Amino acid sequence: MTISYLLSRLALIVPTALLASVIIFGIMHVLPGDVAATILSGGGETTHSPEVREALREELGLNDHWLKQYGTWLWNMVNGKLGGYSLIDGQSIRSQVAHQLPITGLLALYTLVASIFIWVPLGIIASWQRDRWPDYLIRFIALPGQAVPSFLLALLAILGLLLLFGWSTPIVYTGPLDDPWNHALMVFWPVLLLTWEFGAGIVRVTRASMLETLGQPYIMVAQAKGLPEQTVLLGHALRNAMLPIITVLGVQFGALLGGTLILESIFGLPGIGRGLVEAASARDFPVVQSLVTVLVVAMLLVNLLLDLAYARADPRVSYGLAKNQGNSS
Amino acid sequence: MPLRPAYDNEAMRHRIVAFLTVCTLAIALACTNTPDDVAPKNVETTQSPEPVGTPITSPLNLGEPLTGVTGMGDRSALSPKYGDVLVLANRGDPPSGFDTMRTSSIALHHVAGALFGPGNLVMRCRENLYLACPYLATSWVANPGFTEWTFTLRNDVLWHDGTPFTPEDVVFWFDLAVNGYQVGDKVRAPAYFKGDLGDIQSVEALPANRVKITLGGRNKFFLDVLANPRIKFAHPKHLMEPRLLAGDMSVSPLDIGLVGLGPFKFKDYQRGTQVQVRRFNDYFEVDSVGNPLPYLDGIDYIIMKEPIAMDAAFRSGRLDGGARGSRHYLTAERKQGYVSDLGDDVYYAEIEGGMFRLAFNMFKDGPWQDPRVRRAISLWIDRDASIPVVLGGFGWTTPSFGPPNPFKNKAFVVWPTFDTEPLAERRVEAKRLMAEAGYAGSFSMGHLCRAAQPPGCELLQAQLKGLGVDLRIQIIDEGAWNRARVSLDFDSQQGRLSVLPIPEGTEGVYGVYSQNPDSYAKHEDPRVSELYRLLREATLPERRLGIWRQLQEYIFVEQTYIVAISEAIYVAPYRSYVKGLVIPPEDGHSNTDFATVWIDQSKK
Repeated sequence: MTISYLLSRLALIVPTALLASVIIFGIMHVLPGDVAATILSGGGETTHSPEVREALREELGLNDHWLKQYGTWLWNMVNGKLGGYSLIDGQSIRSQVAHQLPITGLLALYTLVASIFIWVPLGIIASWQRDRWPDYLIRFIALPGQAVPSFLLALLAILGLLLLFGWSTPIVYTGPLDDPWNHALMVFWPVLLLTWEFGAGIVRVTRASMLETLGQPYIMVAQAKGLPEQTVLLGHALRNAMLPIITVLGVQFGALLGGTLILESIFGLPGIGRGLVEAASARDFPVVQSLVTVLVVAMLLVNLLLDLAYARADPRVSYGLAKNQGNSS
Repeated sequence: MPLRPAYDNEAMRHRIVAFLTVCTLAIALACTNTPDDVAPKNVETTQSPEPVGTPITSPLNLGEPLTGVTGMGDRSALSPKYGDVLVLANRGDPPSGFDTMRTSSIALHHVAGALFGPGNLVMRCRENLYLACPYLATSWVANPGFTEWTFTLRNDVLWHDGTPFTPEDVVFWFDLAVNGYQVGDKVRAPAYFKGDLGDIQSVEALPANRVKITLGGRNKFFLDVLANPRIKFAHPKHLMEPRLLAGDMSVSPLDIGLVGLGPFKFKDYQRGTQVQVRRFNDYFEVDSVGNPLPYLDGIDYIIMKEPIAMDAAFRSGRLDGGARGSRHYLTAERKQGYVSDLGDDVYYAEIEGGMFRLAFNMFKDGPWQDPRVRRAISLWIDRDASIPVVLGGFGWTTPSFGPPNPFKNKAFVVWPTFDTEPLAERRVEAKRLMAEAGYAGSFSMGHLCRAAQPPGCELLQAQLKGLGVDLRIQIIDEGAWNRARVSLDFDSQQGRLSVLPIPEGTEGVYGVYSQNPDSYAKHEDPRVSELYRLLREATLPERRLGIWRQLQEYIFVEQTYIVAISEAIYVAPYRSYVKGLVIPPEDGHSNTDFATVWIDQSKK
């Protein structure tokens, strides 16, 4: 791993994020609809005159040339305002991101940690007990989480809690440091459902990867030497089976950053996924562009961390040394 | 925790009896004192030294006084208690920085009623929401031509930061609403309701705490326009003007700390989570016996996007009241869950809601250009079937205003009064009309469908197939809806807009397209404009009512520009210990008044 490799990867983030923002800008301007009409119509329920709408478009700068609009947004991205201000409510996008991103980030992190501690061990057990009842049971538990849509699971969870216990999750979100118990009660169910949703993939990849590794000659050698089964599994097989597992975990973490919208809405978590969809439906393009750019950068960073994790998990993987050692991946 | 001890019951009873007697007399006087066509010189429309809770003569005064307050029949309601924080669901984040000039979202109005108050210079009377009552003004005088209205303001009103409310605030507010603002080449748009205010020529601050509003034309119903609860003073001059002069054209009430005039002042807003407001101890309104309002210590509005989350929170005891707004209003099915869990512990507020309709675009060529075809479609539709499918089980088959509205067209109270035959017979007539118009076969008609309302579109599609009309549903999302509905690109649409509950308020949605792009049906019928002109000029209530009925028959039957199918009844749940809540018979969208609400701890 060289510093120059790391820097080159980091540098690539800039053009990639720019490209994403241009694409989103284009899409938002091609889509039918008008944020000024959305604001004035109050959810499509009141009348307003074309004259007022035109004046609002002027006020919001929507009549400016598209290059100027994009340039204004870009300048606001680089000058620390993170895209400027929402057209819908005039509030700072930076404060919106600062409020929403940690909530979604925490949700994704909790899900990742829970997945690692629940599904990876279960995947190992499934491979170890291949085609025996523990293997079937684990797969039987994991699969519905992926097969049933998360919104349906969430609704069932809410109704189940209400009907069985007369209980619902708290309604006011608090951070983990403000009120840990309330925070835990609010995020427990969405994290559980997200962990279940992503469990099937992790179990299957862990199981398949472990099975492949367990079939390798060096495992047989280790077993022939009389090493305890636990040592063979965890000390020899697991480490070599880690690469696909890391990949799946990383990809799912990235997906979680932008993909928890439905659960955020149902469980009252004011995260970035919910903010993104609300902004998109209102055609609030500076917010959409900024949030998408933030998510793109987050995804690129996750990918970079994944690559670093590969090198950590497998000494044969190295970056930026191909020319000298002829060993790259 | 109560702020003061409970009232002495005996003394309280005497005061209440006295108050109710005065109120009854006042209402009786108001009802008999309907305005006539001959205006005396400098008509003093009202002179109310005790403005709170005293209904006064209003041009809207055509109906029976209404009681829209929860707990009025309950003896405990007569001894309101101070204290407690009410917890209500809110449909979403209040948009546009809580700017009541910018948007009319229910997510804003639900909160704005508490922060900015239930009215402006006037408000809708709590006892009868079809009357105008004093609010920030104690009295008003109109000139004989009803072109100059002079309001005398209360002198005890404070903004939440302690600054006195003055005539200059009123002048600033009207100027901002009507003209917007301009500094150099930077502009601020006028208020979205600028058109509702009419032709305001000038607003002047006069000595003795008075304000004169000069209109471009006669408007005897100006009070009714002002009584629209969407129109709220949320823009203190001393805080807004410096920001505007500094070039911040989009400065919103949120940017200046949500300093209002209402019964509750702003405490905290967490985006996507909650808005908290707390009692404003210097609020000017008092109740019928002189005790200061509001009774509550505060209100927490919990932002809940998903109705099912609201249901769960309410049924598990985390909420005292539901959110207002479509999707969040209860359906019959959801209400069953409430009833089974909470029994009699819930009060279900019923508010006349929006109309389900089919409106034609007369600018596009097609068979619907023939009035017989439009009439046939109207006769064919099974209106009753729409109530469970489209309106969630709560609704009735009638066009336009709600039943208590004095302008309700009695002939339409329950459809099909105008088409009295059974559905089967009406459908035979529909087929005959189609054949007569030369469309015995089938034809195709596009239908603009809002993504949030597919059941209505699907119902129409299924029903009209039997008439030989192939309804092509064109679904668009919310972002595109507001553009599409004012365009001429679609053959037909449903439309969905709320208007002032007075006949003149409907021109924006029934009038000609060139002057009313928001109109449901896109037409340019001069007869409709003529009827609206006659309506505006009429001042005798009976004449006004007559023209309004004529107009409805013309639009809904004779020409059938709009097929009025059914109207929703919005159902909002409140725990039965929530007392004193003003339940508007209609326009629950913006009529949100929490100053008189209190919590009966004995039932909590």
